[in-house]
Amino acid sequence: MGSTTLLDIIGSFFIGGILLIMGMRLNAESNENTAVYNGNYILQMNITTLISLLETDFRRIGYCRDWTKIPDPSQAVRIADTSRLRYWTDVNNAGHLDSITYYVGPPSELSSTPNPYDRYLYRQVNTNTALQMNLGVTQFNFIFKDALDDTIHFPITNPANVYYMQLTVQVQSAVPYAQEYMNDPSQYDVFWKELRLVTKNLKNR
Amino acid sequence: MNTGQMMLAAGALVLLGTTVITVDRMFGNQGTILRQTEIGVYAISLGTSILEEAQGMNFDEVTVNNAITSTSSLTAASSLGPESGETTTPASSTKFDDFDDYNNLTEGLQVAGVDSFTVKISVYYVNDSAPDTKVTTPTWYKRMDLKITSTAMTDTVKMSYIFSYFNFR
Repeated sequence: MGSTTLLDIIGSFFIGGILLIMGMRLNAESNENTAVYNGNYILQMNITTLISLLETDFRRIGYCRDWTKIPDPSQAVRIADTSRLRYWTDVNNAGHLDSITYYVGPPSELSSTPNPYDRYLYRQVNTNTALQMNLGVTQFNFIFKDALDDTIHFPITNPANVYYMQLTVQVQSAVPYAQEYMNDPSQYDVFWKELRLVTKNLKNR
Repeated sequence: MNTGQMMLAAGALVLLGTTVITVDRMFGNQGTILRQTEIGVYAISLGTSILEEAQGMNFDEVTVNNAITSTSSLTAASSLGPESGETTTPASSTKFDDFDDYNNLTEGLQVAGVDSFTVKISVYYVNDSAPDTKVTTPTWYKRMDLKITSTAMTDTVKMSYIFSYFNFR
C-alpha cells in the first residue's frame, strides 16, 4: 500500500467523518426542535382551552335561572383564596344552585412528570368527585378586588366584598426537552394574565 | 484521490450542506410562527382584560348615577370619549367610569420578556339590527373595537364587544 493510497483512505475517513457528524447533528436538532415546537403547540392549545373553560364558568358566578335561589348576588363567592375559588352558580341552567370549586393540587401529585412544577387543576361541582386536569398548570393565582378597586388582602374573611377578580395562569410543558429545559425554561412557559374578570352578577347589588 | 473522487466528495458536502441549511430554515420558520401565535395569546389576554374592564363600567356618563329611559339623554356620538380629567391605563387602576371613555384611546403596554403592544380602541353607537355599522345617533348599543399590534406580530389582533344598556334591577 503506497503512501498515496494511505493518504486517500485517511482523507476519505476525514471527509466521511465530517459528513457523519453533520448528519448526526442534523438529526439531533430535528428531534429537539420537533419536541420543543410540539410541546409549545400543545401548551398553547392547553392554555386557550383552559381559559375558555374558566371564562365561561366565571362569567356565571352568581347566576341561577331561578333568581330567588340566590337573591343576594354578593353571597355568590363562598371561598376566595390565592389559588382556590368556590362560588354559587347554575351549572346546567336548571334552576338549581350548584357550587363550583376551582383549586390546584400540590406539585408532588404530579411527580410522575419530569417537570417538577406542574400540578393538577381541579374543578369540583357540588360534592362530586373533582375533575382532575393535567394541563401543565404551574401557576393559578387570583387577586380579588373590592368595589373601590382596592386589592383585598388574604385571608379573605368576607368573600362578599369581592367585586372583581384578576387571574394569572401559567402553563409549562409536562415533559420538556431536558437539555433545553435546563438552559432556558422560559421557552416552555405560556402565560395568561387576565387583569380583570368582571362578573356582572357580583355587581348586581 | 483523483479528480473524480474529489468532485464526488465536494458534491456530497454541498448536498448535505444545502440540506442542513434548508432544514434549519424550516425549523426557524416554524419557531417564528409558534412565537407569533404565542405573542398572539398574550395580545388576546391583554385585549380581554381591557374588554372585561370596560364591561365593568357604566353604559354612559349620564347613567353613572341615574337610570334613563330615552336615548336622547345619552352622550352624543361625536362626544364619545373621556370626560374632562378622566384618564386611565388599562393595566392599572382606572378613573374611567363609563364604557365610551375608552374611545380613541391608544395605549402602549409592555409585557416583560415578551414584547411591547399597542392597543387602539374606538367606541361608537350601533343599531341592534346592524351591529357592524356605525351610527351617528345615540342608541342603546355601544360597540368597542380593539386593535392590538406589536412589532413581533405580523397580524393585528382585532376584538369587538357590544355593550347594551339595561336597567336590570
